[in-house]
Amino acid sequence: MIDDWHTVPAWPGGARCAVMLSFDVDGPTLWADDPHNLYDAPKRFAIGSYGPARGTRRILDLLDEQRVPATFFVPGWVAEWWPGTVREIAERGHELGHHGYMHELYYSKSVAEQRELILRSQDAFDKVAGRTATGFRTPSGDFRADSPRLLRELGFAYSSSMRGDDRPYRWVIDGETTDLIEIPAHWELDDYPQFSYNDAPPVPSGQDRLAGTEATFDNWRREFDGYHRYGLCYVLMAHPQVMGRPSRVRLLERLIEHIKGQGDVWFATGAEIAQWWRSNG
Amino acid sequence: MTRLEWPGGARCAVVVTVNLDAEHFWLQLDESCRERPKTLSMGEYGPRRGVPRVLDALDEAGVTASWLTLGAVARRYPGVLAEIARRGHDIGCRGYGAEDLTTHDADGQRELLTRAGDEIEKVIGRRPTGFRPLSREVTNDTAGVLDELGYTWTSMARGDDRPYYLHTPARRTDVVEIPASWELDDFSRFMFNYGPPFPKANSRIAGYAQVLEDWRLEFDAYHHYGLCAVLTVDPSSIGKPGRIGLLEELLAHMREPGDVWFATGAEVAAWWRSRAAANDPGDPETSRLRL
Repeated sequence: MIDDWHTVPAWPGGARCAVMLSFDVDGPTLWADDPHNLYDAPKRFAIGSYGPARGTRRILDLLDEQRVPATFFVPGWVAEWWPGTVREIAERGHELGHHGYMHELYYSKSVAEQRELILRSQDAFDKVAGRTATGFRTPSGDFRADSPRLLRELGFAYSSSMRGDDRPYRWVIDGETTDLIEIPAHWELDDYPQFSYNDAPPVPSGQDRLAGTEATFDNWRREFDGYHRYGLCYVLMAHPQVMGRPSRVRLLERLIEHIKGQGDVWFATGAEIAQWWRSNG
Repeated sequence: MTRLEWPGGARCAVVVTVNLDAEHFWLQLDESCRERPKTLSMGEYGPRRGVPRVLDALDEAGVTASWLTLGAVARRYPGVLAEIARRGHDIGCRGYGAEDLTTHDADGQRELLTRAGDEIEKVIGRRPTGFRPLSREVTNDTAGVLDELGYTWTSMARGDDRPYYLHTPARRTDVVEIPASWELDDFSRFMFNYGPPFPKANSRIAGYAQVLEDWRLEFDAYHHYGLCAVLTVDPSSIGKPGRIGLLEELLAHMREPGDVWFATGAEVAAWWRSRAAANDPGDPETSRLRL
């Protein structure tokens, strides 16, 4: 561990650090585990649907303007419900990643159930966008210690689920260092803890006030400056139902401009980062 | 109020404490974390990435800190602990693992702390003399056990802004408590998880700039009144790429007046024993024990 303390990752073209913009298009799935709870709950359905129905396109337009690629982790059910949005994500050059079928908590599912959810979601992606996911982000918290073995078996190139590092690493499975890459993310680079809010069901559970928009932008900017300083892999994790709100897309625009202003930054999708790390990491 | 005296005519004292709990904060929060690799990985970030950044920030500021860790962390991360000691810092104890000390009597606590001390001594070649439990609460037996085991200081309570002696129900001990404060703590501002939830109500992550401003204001007031400020940071939180700069800026700010005594817990305790015979009237120890 100590030998590894001061190693600085290498990035393509001599870039100083990597940036992965990622968007979890959870839609209404965050608001119920069972879709049948949603159809009779207009308000819950609506707060979630803002993501795939409205926020995602505003974000896609910004990404076009800024000419940066992104990775969209989409539950299979959302792909079935908003096929146009999901097709558009793919057609506009971005990556589609797996994020559960209904944003299930994989920690509470058996390996057989996890497999079923993944295959069902891959079918949905294939039907809607003509492709399947090679990236995985565990929905709703933890997965299980044996989940990475399943991901490898199902041919995933990477996961972006863990919290324990600030650069990619290879998963060690059954004692073997594998080609399955982990691209860790962090809560402090997630819009959901800062900005998700609802009256019923209460979100967050203690209904803390919304975080300051400018203060959160400042946190993300300071984090980026740190990732740039140390040459790391910055993973922004946003949710179109939260980040797609008007003022926050403007915030995202400023963040991207700040990042570009630092220079020597490699904007990449999860698949590109994983591929680079397999060959060079 | 009379001003406290600090060595060399310093105006106030600062103790920088670093809690190194690795995965055990989460295991103590919720036993189910044993089966939650993603949640545990937040703790692993501390020894893997946070510790070297904190060590470098301390070096840059020329500050010797008091690190506090668990017997189980010494077992799992001996190289990390050895490096912290090699860089000249003091290493105290936070217990063995995720135990709740209030469920142990004096014998049980003695046994746990002896095992923890053994693990730390195996790595750094000396027994810890400072104690701050990971356990949320301690008991009226704890002070006596610490005294017997050779501990000279603790930093486990938040009931004063200067040191005081711990008491057993029967007597004053020579163990000096150096109280910390939630105001000068990073973990409570920044740490977050959904399942198990932390904070309990999933409150927002604080704005970094605001926290730095709070810490500066707090230090300025400790300096003004001539007290003993105890900063508490955790490498899994302050060691993030965007947060280590807060520690660097705060330490630089604390150095500015030029009349601050940066000391380890052990040094503050020794100074206190040489100056103070007893606690001030109404102190947390004698009032609680009705002595």
